[in-house]
Amino acid sequence: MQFSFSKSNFRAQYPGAEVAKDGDAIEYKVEDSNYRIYDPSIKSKTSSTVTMEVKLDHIRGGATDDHVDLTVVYDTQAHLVSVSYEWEAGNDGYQIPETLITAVDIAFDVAGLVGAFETAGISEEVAEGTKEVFDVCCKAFNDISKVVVKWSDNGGRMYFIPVVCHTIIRLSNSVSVTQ
Amino acid sequence: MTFDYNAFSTTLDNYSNVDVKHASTNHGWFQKDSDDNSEFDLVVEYSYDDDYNYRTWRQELTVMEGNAALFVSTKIDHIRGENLDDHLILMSCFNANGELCYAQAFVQMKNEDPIHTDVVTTGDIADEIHDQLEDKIKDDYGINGSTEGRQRIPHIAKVNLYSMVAAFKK
Repeated sequence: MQFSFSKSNFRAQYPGAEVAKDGDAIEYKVEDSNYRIYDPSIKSKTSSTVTMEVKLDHIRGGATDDHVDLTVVYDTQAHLVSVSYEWEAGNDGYQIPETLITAVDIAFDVAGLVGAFETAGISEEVAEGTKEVFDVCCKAFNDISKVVVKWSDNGGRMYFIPVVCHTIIRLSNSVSVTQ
Repeated sequence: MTFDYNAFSTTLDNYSNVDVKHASTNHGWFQKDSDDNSEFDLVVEYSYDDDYNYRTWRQELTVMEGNAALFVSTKIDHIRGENLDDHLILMSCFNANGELCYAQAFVQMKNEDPIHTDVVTTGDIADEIHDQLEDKIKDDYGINGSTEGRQRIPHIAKVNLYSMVAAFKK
């Protein structure tokens, strides 16, 4: 299997982003706050999986940034297997220790998503990969927001959660395999 | 698969109890920071039942692989004058036919317990988000608590979701 990740495709999905950190990251402003996304890197490979890592910051100006580390695992079809995240709020001492979400363990009712695939002509291959990304994003948003919403009343810290979910999808859109 | 921002604000303005401010200019979208011309500095501000004011930030979008679905997220501020704004975060997904197939919301209000809905993927999703938020809104938030404006947050979530549906274009 030849696994590839397109950095240009990944970066292009962040509207209005500017290159930062000597070319190792992009920064963008959205919903009244600023975020930094470091270039994803391949952390390890086995015969059946590829593990990628992405670091993200919620930029807080004069204060310590909020940090998120994502570890995202793909299978031999470049389908999402799992995401684990660590979340650390700047200054306040709040954190979420490394937490794993595995796609096959999630059981949301996805009929509303899947029901449209056939009429819209979405291939079975794409459909299967989409369902896993959808499940993981919904689960991540749910689990993380339940914790982070209690930390402090800060809109930029809150919106970091959607930023992380968009990043999981954008990364998944940017990986592919050729057999 | 795109999102028609003007259709969003026009639909929002068409609700009888919503009044989008200066809707005749750029369909109500304006730069929040006059020194910033970036796309995501654009906001729409509107009143609900005349006296209560809200701001929707330009929605962020991600199209899933193969145009299989569209994720849309936004932050909505309940504008409280001298007091810290309340924040409503909406996360949602539209299927390939443009039907809302997922939404979840949470609300943060200074010195109050946050409100959090479930992951909603079935039924009338916008209605369910409304009902789950409304279940948790208190009858009285006290002095400077903007009780009436907070009690309208569930409706704000619902009309935003319906206006997002109108904005989806294949």
